[in-house]
Amino acid sequence: MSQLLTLVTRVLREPRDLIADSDTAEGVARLALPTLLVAAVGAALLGAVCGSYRGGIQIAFAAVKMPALFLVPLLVALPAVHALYAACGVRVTWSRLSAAALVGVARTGVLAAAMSPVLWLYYSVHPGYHRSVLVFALAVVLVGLPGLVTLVRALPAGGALRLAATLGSILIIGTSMAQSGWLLRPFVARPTVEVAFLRPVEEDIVSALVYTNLSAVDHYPGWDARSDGAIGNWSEE
Amino acid sequence: MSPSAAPATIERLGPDVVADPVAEPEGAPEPSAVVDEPAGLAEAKALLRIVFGRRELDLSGPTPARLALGSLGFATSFGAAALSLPLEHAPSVAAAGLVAALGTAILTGPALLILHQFLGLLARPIDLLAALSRGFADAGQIALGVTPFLLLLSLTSRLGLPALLVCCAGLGGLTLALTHRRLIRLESRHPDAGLRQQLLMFALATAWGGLAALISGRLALGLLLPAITS
Repeated sequence: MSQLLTLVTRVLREPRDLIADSDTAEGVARLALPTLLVAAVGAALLGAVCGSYRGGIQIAFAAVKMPALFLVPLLVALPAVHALYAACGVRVTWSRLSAAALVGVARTGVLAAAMSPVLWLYYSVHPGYHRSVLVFALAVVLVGLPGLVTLVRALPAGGALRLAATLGSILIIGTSMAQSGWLLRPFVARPTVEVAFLRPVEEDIVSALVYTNLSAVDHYPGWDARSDGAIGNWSEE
Repeated sequence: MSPSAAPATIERLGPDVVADPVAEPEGAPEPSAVVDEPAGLAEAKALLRIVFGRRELDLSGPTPARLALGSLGFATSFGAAALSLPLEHAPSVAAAGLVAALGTAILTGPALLILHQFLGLLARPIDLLAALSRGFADAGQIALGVTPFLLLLSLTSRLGLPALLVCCAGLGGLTLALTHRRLIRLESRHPDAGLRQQLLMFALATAWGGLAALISGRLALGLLLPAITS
């Protein structure tokens, strides 16, 4: 337990040193389990608070899904991050990138745990559904940014056009996270709809955000969600 | 550098700089620097150096394995985006990346080499060819890297094709800019290269970059347009 607390302290106070200490295959293997545990517990706490908007079984559903929301984008985006920096002449090893990602996601998890009471306080005054979703999205962005910065700052110095690689990486990680969040919905379940662990694969995060933004200002243009993507097409056939 | 001095230098510069065989340490004299050249010329060269950069770009060509990996990257990323499309459009979209990249290299590479020789520039043609191959391999490897991302989007949404277009624009712009820098640096590192050669090479590389962007866009759009408009 004390080792875990020490790890949390290092994740928050000296992430770059922690990454430098784990910059080998063995170091990454040693770091993986505790950091993933920290990230999962922190994310689950934030998920449980999100689920509390609806209450009941949704608390458990959201708590189980939230860690996946933090981890899936990293798995999807890390190859792109590696390739972008390599093209710019930054020689980043897979072990360093993995260590940076693990520490970054653990940092995000700890900050998610810290964000939970704030979100709970907001939900306790019974805001509207669409506002609740937007505040949840804002909370995820707020806790995700420090993790992203940790990842980017841990990469070796140098390279040409490094800024382009950084912006490209952020765009890819951000988009992956947004789409993963859309796929794993609902986190903040609508009070009037039957609770479900996952919704069907339909539409995408961009159209959903447009609709939610309009609905948040009491403009309801009507939204006919339809199955999309290869999975949606296959399931329709 | 004597063998005994090497570890100290590695410690001072860091492994990233030392690993690059042609990277120059900060403050090191440029190979083409002439001590008694006019002050204006030296300032112009310094300005060129700041704007276009010369450090930390690996000028070596790609290995055959990296070229193969790059080709694979074009095929897999476009193939991943094609998954969400109707069957009649999928093959042309899947092939578009490799066709556009190879077509651009084949159509613009010889033009660059011919004009380079015509203008009497000094870098070795084989080095220019290596820079072009490096650009192709880099673009392909980025494409390989974004494949899981495109796969996620095309499996679960209709964002696969728009994301592919954004990725193509991004990776194309990035690798063209990097190749542009490599070409300029290849010329400027030649011992006899003066300001005239550097400016000519800048103009040539810029023109080549513009041509490559237009041709790759034309080739890719020719194959992607039916899917975009459907």
